[in-house]
Amino acid sequence: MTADVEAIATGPGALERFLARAAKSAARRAWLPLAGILTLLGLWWLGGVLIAANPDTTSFAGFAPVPALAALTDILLGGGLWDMAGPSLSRIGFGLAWAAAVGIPIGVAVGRYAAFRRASHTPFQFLRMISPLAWMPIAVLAFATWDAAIVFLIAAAAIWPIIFATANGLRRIDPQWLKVARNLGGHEIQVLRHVVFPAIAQDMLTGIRLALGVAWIVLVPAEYLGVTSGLGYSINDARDTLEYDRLAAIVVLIGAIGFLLDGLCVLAIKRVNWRRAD
Amino acid sequence: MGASIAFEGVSHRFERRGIPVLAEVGGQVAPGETVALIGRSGCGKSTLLHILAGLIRPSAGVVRIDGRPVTGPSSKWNLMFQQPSLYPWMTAAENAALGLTFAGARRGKAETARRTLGLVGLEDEADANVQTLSGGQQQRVALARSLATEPDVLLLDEPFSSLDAFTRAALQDEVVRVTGRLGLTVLLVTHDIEEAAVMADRVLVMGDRPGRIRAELPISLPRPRDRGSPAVLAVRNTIMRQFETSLCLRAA
Repeated sequence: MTADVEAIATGPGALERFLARAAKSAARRAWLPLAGILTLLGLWWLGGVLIAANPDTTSFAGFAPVPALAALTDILLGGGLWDMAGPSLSRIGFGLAWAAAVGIPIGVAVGRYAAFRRASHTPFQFLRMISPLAWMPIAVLAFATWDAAIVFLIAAAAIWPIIFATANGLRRIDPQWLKVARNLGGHEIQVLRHVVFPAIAQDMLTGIRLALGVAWIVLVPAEYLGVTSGLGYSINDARDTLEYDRLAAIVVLIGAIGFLLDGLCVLAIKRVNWRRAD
Repeated sequence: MGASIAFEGVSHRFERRGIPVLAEVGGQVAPGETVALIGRSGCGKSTLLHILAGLIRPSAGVVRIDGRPVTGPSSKWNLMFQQPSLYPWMTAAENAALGLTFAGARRGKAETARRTLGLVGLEDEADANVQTLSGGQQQRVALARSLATEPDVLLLDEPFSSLDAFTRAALQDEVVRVTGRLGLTVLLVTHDIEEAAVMADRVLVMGDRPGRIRAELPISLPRPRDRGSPAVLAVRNTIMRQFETSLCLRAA
């Protein structure tokens, strides 16, 4: 048996066969995702063709992939990317930071104290179902700047997944871990820092990942109002100046940046995951 | 060094008007002595141990360790549980050092943790992911975690019952060796009569509903003890008989 394996591993042409097999398996893994991307591009292209063919919509032909990707290249090469995305990313960053700063302690309280969980259940579920954009007029009144109002709206959207994921993680903690920590003389704060937070880090980051998804969606409509920077503003601006190729390019950019940020969250979740892979 | 344990009039009920789990339980353990508390499952022996550790406040009664009343957990005594319950995001050494972290130690924490792991024969696994260790090794890490703060008293709550017979025997011998060397006072809760016969200087037999100490039996054999020796087997039989008699007394 072992001899067979060695013969295959070291026999003539073994390296070639190994490489061929590796390439084959890589191709097998890659072709489905690739097919998905190509289908999306194909549908986009088809949409572009239909828009161009219809006399009523032919002036929107800039939405098609070719002009849009050309405009995207212009944005990327012309250095306009950071001017557009920078303010948006900063708003998302502050919004998420506020949501985490307020949401994680609330989530710990919900997960840890049954009385608080029961008392807060209905109000939280009720508030959660209100679109953050419904707070827009109040936010504009309450905050001195448009920027602060947008950060508030993002935080209002992002806080719920963070609260619920944190609370959920806390409820899944092995109660024995807390007992052992108390038995070792750990005080409440020490137990939080050394046991509870490491135990639920993955759940908290999963909450932040979900929160980022919601926040990224709320960001664009929130930036339609008031401010003169950011991705949402740029979309509105492109519409007003009838630059539909540019508009489509920004749509692609919004998707790409969101995809990238989500990927960063996945990496961070993998990093704090202490469960063994097997 | 070991400290004395004294408890008097300890009664406990989990609900205000519920059935008492423990009724007026009293006893003493001398410094450096190893006492086994045996009884059937549900007789309240584990509850008594939690009360001695300060993890449960009794409905009535006092516990003193080294003459001072117990009001909560302390680094001077430690309870070791049935399950190792290690923290999977920490290495073996970090697990062992947790009590020192809680006590505010900064310097020498890692060395103490490593030394304590060495005491239980795990110096080579200090940096291991505890999830890769065997059940017996995990329980050794838990023992190191209990010993790292240099307690005077070790309370053991059936700590070997989830292990296979061979690992259990090896760990019993290990605990006898380590606690003997450190001169610790040990109170061992178990329902394994052989375990009591191998480890203890004295056995307390506990009856149930409500939990009370029914009989007391000294064992004056030197340690380490050979499980198969006639002397240990005789002690086993005596405990078994004592156990049956005390339960019959209750039924009568």
